[in-house]
Amino acid sequence: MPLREPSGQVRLALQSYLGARLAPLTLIVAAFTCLSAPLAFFLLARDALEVRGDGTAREAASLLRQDVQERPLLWKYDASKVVARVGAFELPGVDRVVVVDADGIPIRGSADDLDALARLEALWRSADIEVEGKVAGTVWVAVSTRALERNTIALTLGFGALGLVLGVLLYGLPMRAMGRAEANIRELVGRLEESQGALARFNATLEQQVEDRSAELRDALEELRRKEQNLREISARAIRMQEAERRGIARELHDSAGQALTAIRIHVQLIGDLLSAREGDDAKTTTMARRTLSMVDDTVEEIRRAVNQLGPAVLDDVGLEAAIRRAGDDLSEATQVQVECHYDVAVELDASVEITAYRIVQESLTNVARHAEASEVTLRVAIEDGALRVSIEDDGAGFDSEAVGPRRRGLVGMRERVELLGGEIQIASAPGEGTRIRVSLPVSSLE
Amino acid sequence: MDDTPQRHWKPWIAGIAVFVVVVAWAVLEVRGVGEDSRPAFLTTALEPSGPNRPDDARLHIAGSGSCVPLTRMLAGSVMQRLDLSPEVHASIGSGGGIRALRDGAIELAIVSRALRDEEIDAGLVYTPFARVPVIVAAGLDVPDRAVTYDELSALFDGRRTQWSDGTKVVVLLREAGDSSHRVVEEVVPEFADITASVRAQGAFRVLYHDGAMQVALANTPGAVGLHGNGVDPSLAGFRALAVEGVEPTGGNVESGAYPFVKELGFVTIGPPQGEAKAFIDYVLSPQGRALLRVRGAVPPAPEGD
Repeated sequence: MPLREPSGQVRLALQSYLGARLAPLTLIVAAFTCLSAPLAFFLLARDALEVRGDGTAREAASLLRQDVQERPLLWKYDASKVVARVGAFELPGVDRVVVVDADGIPIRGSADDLDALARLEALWRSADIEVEGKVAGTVWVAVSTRALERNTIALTLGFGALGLVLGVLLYGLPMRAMGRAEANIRELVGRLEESQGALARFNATLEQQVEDRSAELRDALEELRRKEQNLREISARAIRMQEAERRGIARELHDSAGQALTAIRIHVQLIGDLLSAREGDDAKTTTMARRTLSMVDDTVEEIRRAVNQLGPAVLDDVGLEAAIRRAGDDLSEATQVQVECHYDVAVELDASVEITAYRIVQESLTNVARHAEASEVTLRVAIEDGALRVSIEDDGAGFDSEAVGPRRRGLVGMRERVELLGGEIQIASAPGEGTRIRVSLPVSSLE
Repeated sequence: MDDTPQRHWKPWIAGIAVFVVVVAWAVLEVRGVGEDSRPAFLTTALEPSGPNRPDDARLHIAGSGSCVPLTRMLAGSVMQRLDLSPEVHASIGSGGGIRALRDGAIELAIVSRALRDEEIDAGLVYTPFARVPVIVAAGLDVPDRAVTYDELSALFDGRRTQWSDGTKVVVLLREAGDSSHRVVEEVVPEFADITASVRAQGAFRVLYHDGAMQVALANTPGAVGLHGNGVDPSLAGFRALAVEGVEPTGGNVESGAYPFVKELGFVTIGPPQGEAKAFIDYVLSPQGRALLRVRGAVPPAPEGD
């Protein structure tokens, strides 16, 4: 929870935080501004004074050197002239020139006012008067520092004012900006807290709404599953009824039309035989009888094929495994294609599943016979992960599944059959790479 | 982010401390400039390391540059006649000679001025040995041969800037208190103010010793200056102008016709003694007097005349 002022406002303390860190920087900048230029001026001016003092002292010492050389011991007694000569160097800025002997004692008249000299605000510089390698005396020059101090203080005041202004700007502007930012943030925080309150309230209702919606969705999903299950059951029943109907039709065809046609064929064959026994009979009639017999055979074959298509009685007769193997054998006999069959189902399957599986195999083998030009076909039927897996693979010509599309009604029929039972079908094929069809049918449909 | 007030004050305190330290250092640095450069004589009572006298037994003579040429000439003569080997030092001025004498640095001072009362009271004894003319000296290139008092004043106060042939006048001054200037000032009272004024203005070159004046007069075209050390001008490379029509000869000095005359003398502590007395006696002897006259100086009248 953020800290709060007594007024209840959020206490951010950004301004004081910034101020605390900005203050030393401001002071350093102010100090640097205040002192840097005056200090630089002071140091340079002091150096200049030193140079001036040194130069003056050296010049005076040089002037006196010849006199000292001529009077090695007695030069200092010529004090009035010495003082008068070096006095010429006491120009503006050079307060005094004092000449001392080798003991450092000022010569007469050179520094009679020691107290006044001691009070001088001056920088003292010196140069020795050397004669034959020995120091005979020294010239001291007092270079006034009053102007230096005065100018340095004036510069310090000026730059101090500048440093003050800079400090105020450097400290005040960011602090002012931070104050505004802090006010804005405080306002935003207030708004955010209002939003959080509203959001909390909304969350409270939203959770209830979500729970309600979730319950509704669960119910809807359950209803959907139930309906799907019903649909599957209905589909299965429809398939079974359809298959039963088709088997009935097939049986009817087989039992009535088939028997009738068989009797017709026997009679037509007898007629043909009788006509053949009679010499001189009409050859046209014999030929017609034979043609009729052929037409009957074709019709019987068509009926047999239709019966086989309508109702695979073989399922009822021998079961799914034998029916599939027989279908494979039929393909081998008809087309010389090697068919390898693996069947591994140890449970009893629902009739709709068996019919759909058989129809898938039947349709696939029909396609192999008609289009694949394959040499080998492998059939696999097994129970895996609670589903019946049916796989038909051939090494035939294959086809472009994208290009074929809905034109292959057989493939569309397979897909429709599988999806009616809630299963999945994968058809993988490419030109020259054979075809692989995998079908998964839920065995829950047994329940 | 620790925003406690105590923590916020720490940078302030540190910054202010730095600021104060820097300002204090700067102020001390400015105020103390030159403090450490003061010479020892301002801070310590210094004592001479020892006697300032040359470490030999010779008679040392020093003082006014006006006396040096004649004294050296006399010293050379006395070394040949007596068992004395006096050394005459370069000019240190009359006052310098007296101070050196009182300090014990020399035994005999030579002066071109009379003793002051305090010097007499201190027991110093003055012995005059010659009078010499203070000449108005001009370069050999100067066409003029004589000056009046007015012309002399005009030359030295800068009113007259050309010699009679139009060449530029170059005035050479001696320092204030010089004995030659003092002699002229006694005769031409306004001369003191004139020279003081032009010295203060720095209008003319100032020379501090007779030797330097002698060289400058000989080497500076159009030069004019006062000179009085008994040296023959013609031998030194300049000429002496007549003053108010009177030539600066020994005769005119002795007769009193020539107005600018300087008296030279010896100073001893108490009556002359020892080698100093012997040297003074020689200078005042007939031989010494004769030598002085040869150099154009006028010896004092013999005692008893």
